[in-house]
Amino acid sequence: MKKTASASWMRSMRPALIGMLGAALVVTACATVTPVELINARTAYARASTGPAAQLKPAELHKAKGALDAAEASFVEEKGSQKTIDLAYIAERNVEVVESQTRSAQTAQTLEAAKRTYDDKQRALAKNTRAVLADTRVQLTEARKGQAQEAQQLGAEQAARAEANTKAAASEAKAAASDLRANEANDALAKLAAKEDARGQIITLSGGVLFRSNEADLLPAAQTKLDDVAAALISRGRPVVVEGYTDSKGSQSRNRDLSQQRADSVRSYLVLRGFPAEKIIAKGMGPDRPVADNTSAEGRANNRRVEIVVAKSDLPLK
Amino acid sequence: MRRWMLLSPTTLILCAGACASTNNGGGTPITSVGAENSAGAIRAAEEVGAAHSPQASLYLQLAKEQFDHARRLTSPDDLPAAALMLRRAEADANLALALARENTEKVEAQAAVDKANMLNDAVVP
Repeated sequence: MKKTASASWMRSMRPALIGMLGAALVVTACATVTPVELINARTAYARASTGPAAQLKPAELHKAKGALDAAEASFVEEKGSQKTIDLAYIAERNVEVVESQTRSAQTAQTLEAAKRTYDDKQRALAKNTRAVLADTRVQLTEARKGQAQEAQQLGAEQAARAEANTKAAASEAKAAASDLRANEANDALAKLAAKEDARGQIITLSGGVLFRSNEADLLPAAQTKLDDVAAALISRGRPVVVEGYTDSKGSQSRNRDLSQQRADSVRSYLVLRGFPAEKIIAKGMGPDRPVADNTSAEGRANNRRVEIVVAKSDLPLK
Repeated sequence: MRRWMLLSPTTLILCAGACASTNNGGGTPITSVGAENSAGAIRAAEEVGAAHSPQASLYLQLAKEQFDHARRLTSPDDLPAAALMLRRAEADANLALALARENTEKVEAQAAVDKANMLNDAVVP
């Protein structure tokens, strides 16, 4: 009977008991405020565990989770006590350490990548430098070859120049000698009493000195005179005309023949003495162009003569 | 040189005080270990230049303040609080150490990147 009454009382009181229990729980919950340090620690851990730390620093993150668990356990046991606050503070710092270490790991990766990049670029630069160096060596070799060729060419040019200078000096010496010879020839011609007219220099040799009367053979004394003339003419080197003249006595044809024969004799002797035969011609002029009066013996002697005409240029005389 | 020999006189006094006040039957007093750990962490942070890094220097300063605070908790009743305070100091010092290292590595990495970029200018004609 008592049991039945008790059970009945319990049934009637159940709603009230449930209400009282609920009220007690609400009061307890309201009295338990989560410390801000714990909230911060939870937030920090949630952030770290979903970030790169989970891959890069899993062991350290696990250790930080242990610190957070300790704070959570303290919170369960002692609610918002100073110990809970301190443990939450420590847990948050541990998580922040893990995050900092994670960033350091990422920075280390960046550093390694930069070092690799640097090494790669340095290798590329070294390769490029080697290529440039090789190219420069080739160019240097070619340049040296070119320089050697230029030096050789320069040497050849210098040798040619020296040879040309030597030739020029020889030519000048030759020219000087030629001038000297010409001067000497002029002097010699002057000594032979040469005179000038439109045809050139004229050497007049007396017929009495060269030939006997009515003959065309040279006298011995004439040869000595003609030796001097030959030397002067050879030095001069110009074309020459030997002209034979007579006086007006006797026949015209005989005088012409005799004058031609005498001119030929003089020409032959000069050629014999070395004067070029192609540069000398002989003409028999007979009594033409008298230089004196044929009425006197002295005048006729002056008209019997041989004139050697030396041309003004190298062109042959007619 | 042993590690305990590097501790500052303040730390040694704190450790000695902690040892004298504990009555846990001859085991290592928790305050002694905590003081050694936190002092070591502070010294390590200082050695890597935490004082010269803005972020790291903040946590280094917090660590020192908490270490000093723990030193002032000398009564036997305060030992648990002192131990926790030393753990907080150690945590702050560890964070200062990590931030200082992070800062140094960032500078080194940036220098390496700049160096690589400069070389890039040299490679590309």
